Amino acid sequence: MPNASEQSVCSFCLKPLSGKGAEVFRPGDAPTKKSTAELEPVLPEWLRDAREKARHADAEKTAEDAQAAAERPTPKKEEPPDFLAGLASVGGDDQTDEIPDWMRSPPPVSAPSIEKEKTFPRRQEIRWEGDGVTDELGGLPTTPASAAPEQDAPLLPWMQGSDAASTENEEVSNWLSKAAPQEEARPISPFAMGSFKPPSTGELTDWLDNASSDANITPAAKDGAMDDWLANLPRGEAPAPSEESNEPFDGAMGLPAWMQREEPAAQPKEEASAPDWMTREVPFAEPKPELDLPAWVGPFGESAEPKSEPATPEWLPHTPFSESNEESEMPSWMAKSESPAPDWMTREVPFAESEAKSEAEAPSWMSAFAPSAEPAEETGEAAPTQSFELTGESDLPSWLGSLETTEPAQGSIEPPPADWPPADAKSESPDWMDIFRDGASAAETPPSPEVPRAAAFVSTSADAPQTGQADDLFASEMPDWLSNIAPAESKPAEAKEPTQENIAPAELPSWVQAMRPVETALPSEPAVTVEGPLEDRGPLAGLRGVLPLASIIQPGKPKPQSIRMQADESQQASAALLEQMLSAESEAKPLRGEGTLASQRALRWAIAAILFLIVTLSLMTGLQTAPLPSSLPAETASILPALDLLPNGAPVLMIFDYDPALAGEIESVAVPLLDRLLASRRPRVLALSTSPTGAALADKLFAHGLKRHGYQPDSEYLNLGYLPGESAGILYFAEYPNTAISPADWHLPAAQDVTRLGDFAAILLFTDQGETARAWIEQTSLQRAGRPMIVIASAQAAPMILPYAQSGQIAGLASGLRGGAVFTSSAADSPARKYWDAYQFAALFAAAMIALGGLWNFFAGLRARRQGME
Amino acid sequence: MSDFIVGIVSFLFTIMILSYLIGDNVLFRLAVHIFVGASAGYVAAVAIHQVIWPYLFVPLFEGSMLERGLTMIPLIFFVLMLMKMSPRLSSLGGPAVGYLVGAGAAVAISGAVLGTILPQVDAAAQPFDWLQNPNPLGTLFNGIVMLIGTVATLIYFQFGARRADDGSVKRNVIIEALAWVGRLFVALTLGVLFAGVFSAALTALIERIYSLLALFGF
Repeated sequence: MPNASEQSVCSFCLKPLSGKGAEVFRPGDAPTKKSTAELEPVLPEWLRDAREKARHADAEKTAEDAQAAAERPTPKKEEPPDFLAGLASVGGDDQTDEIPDWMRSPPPVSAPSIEKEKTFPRRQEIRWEGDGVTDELGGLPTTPASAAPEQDAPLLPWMQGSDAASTENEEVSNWLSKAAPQEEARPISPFAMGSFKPPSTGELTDWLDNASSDANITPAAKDGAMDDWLANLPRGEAPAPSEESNEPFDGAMGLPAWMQREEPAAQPKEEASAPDWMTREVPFAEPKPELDLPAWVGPFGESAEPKSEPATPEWLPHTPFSESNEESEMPSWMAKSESPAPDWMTREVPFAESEAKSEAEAPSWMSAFAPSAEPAEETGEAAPTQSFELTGESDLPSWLGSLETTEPAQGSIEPPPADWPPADAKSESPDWMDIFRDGASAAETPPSPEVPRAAAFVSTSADAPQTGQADDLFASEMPDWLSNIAPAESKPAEAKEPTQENIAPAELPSWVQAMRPVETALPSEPAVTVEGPLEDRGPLAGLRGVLPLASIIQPGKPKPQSIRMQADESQQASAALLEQMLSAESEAKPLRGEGTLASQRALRWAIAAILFLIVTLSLMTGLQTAPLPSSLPAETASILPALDLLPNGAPVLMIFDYDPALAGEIESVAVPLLDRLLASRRPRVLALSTSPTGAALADKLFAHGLKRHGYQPDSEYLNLGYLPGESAGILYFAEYPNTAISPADWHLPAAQDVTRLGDFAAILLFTDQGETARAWIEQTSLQRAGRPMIVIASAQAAPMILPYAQSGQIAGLASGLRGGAVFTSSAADSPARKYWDAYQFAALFAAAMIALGGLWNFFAGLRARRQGME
Repeated sequence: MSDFIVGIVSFLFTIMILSYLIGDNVLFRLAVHIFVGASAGYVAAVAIHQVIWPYLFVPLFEGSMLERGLTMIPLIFFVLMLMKMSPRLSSLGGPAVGYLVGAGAAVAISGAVLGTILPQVDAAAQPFDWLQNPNPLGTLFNGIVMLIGTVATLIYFQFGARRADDGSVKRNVIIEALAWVGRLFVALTLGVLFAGVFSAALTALIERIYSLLALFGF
């Protein structure tokens, strides 16, 4: 059967189907597409023959199967699991060292048989029944292997010898029985780990096929003993005690087909042609006319006949495989062996004694399964209970049986479900056997896209721990004679097999390449060759042309740059000065000592206490020892003439622009002035203020004067209120007094005949801020029309207003308590008089303290300088 | 009675303010907060009663159409000024503020030039007109002193200098001498201002102590 077109690895030889597969595959390389058609000529000869036969026999096989099924409703011939298939192909791979030679040898091309070769299903499709999951038998690459002949497949001579169950073969099976305990000591069973999976090359499955084919024609097989026997394989239990196995073999006991094939061997078999080696081992076996034996099995079959051909190995005539063959002898290696017969062979002794009574004989290694291999007829129980089942018609070598039975606990193979139907060799067979029934169709189906697994017998990196044990089993435990059991015919085929190419150290195995997603990774279009340097290090190693600029931009020696600043001395001096200033800013100033702060606080309290004491004592005592100022300053002296020039009852604008905090000082000056003015000229007073609090202060000031001088509100006194806008408001009021202030107030008698600023006879400004006085002076200089403007200011604002008085812009300036004292007579009840003594003493005290402080600082500076000089 | 209550309140607030002598304390802060709050409330009341109502709402509700139209301009500015309270809409109050600043600056500059600079320049030159002065020497001396003081003070605030050969920066010797004289005038001016401030504060203190003494019968 040809390989599928999408396969990249040959299904038969596991070789790459394209030439690129043999190329060294390095990391970073693009995946290559495989073509298996190219490797067709390099297939082994026997494999090509088998493939060719398989192609031609498919049609015939199908027709024959249908005809046989119609003639007799016998159960379909089950194909044994090809768990050993593929050994040849795998053995020919790079894993040669790990597989015995007898496994690597190509499968014996069976003799011409009626049944043509049949392609086994792919390895992934072979499943152990009872897994319930996708537990695969194989694990080998998805290579459909050519199936061994279903019938007449040669059985290994040593297995035939076990069938004979003669006393001579006790020695043969003894080493195998020893192998079982040794296998028990193994920590992990390949079966248990699920990695021990039979190969698929069909190399050793021929005998299984024969066994299965024989089972169809043996009465024992018809009784279903074969399935029961297999169904009761004690996979998960310890080997059966020897007592049970020593029971006389009963004909009713189910026997595998291969064990019972000797019986029907005497019957004429039309369809299946048993190999000669099978018939000769049974004394009563008659040669089959249509016997097809593989070439390499031929000598075994012929050895049973009197006229054995010289092709028989030397050791074969001495093998105790045939009880009836008196000439058969132990193999040389067995004859020479000084060790006694294996135990398992000794257990077969009673079994062998009953051989004459029984038509079917079980090999000695099968005795291990005896406890559970009760006939289905007797137990009537469901056969598949504990272990995975092979088939009712397939056999396992003793070494495999012991291997499985001695690894009960570690198997990943779980016992089949309890609800399984009882094993019936005739009517029912395990499900997985359906695969083999439909092997032809399954083989025709395209390979599944599943990722192939490594062969169980192939030591891979991933399955090394598991497969290593199997390798040890086959490599070290196998006797030499088993390794050399390959027939002579196979040797030429093996010789014709093309030698495996030596795989480079970095070359990936073919099965690894087969695992690569070639179809998905390969672009549909041919890969564009990227030119450029190949990165040989770093994370981009293996990539080419990923850094194209690296070849263009060649880093050269950097141009030397001068690090010296181009600055002249002046710039450096400025920089030094700036650095000095910055450093001075960052330097923390030394904190004043606690003593210094405490002394300053105490000094402040002391000064305050003294000042309070002086003022309080002066006021409490009512001292008027300090004389009032006798001479008036020039700016103040001009106020009295201006007031004297006012006409009686003339409107006078009084502006109150001072804060309540300085009301005491301002009132001390304003009260004597107003008393003098109101008493002498009784003007109509209109109050105005550019400060929100000025109107209230005006009412407070006029309350005493109005009450004292009998002024009537709205007729002689009118408070215009607050004038907003500061300078702009002042200018606006100077321009349009009637519109700047609520027009309703201008109809009152106090504001009668006042339409502009020049209509006021005089303007008196009470202020504590020089800016306010300057604003009024500046903004009303033109609108006053020469009307006098007298400023009553606080002492703190007097220095700023004095220039306007000296320049003649204002008529007079009276500031502070001293200015009030000018207008105060010597009357004792005047505020200026009452405050004057306290003011004088307090001012004197303040001056003294200032002088003392100055002197203290002066001497402190001298002392510090002197200490600095010293 | 009211005078007595006013006197007691005045006395308490005076003591609370004077407690600042021992440092910042709760009584001082309480008195300051009360004064600030009372002043703000009073100012708001005055502004509403004497500015907003008579100058905005009365013309808007009771005025003629012309007055109402003209009132819309300050009303718009009023609304725009309120936008300054919102950080997101404060930019809308820019035009109103600009108008106020511009108008105030124009008035102040014109008033300063016409009401301060020119009259003061003229006044500074008057002492040197000995023909019109009865005491020309004295007036001239005063004029010279004021001139020196004015020039020296202005030179003191002149910071132009030249770099010497050694890299040091020094002003001219004459300029430096006049600046030193100007510094004397500045010091004298600041001294006079401090004396005026101290005199004003001392007078306020005397008035407060006197009121307290008067409250208690002294």
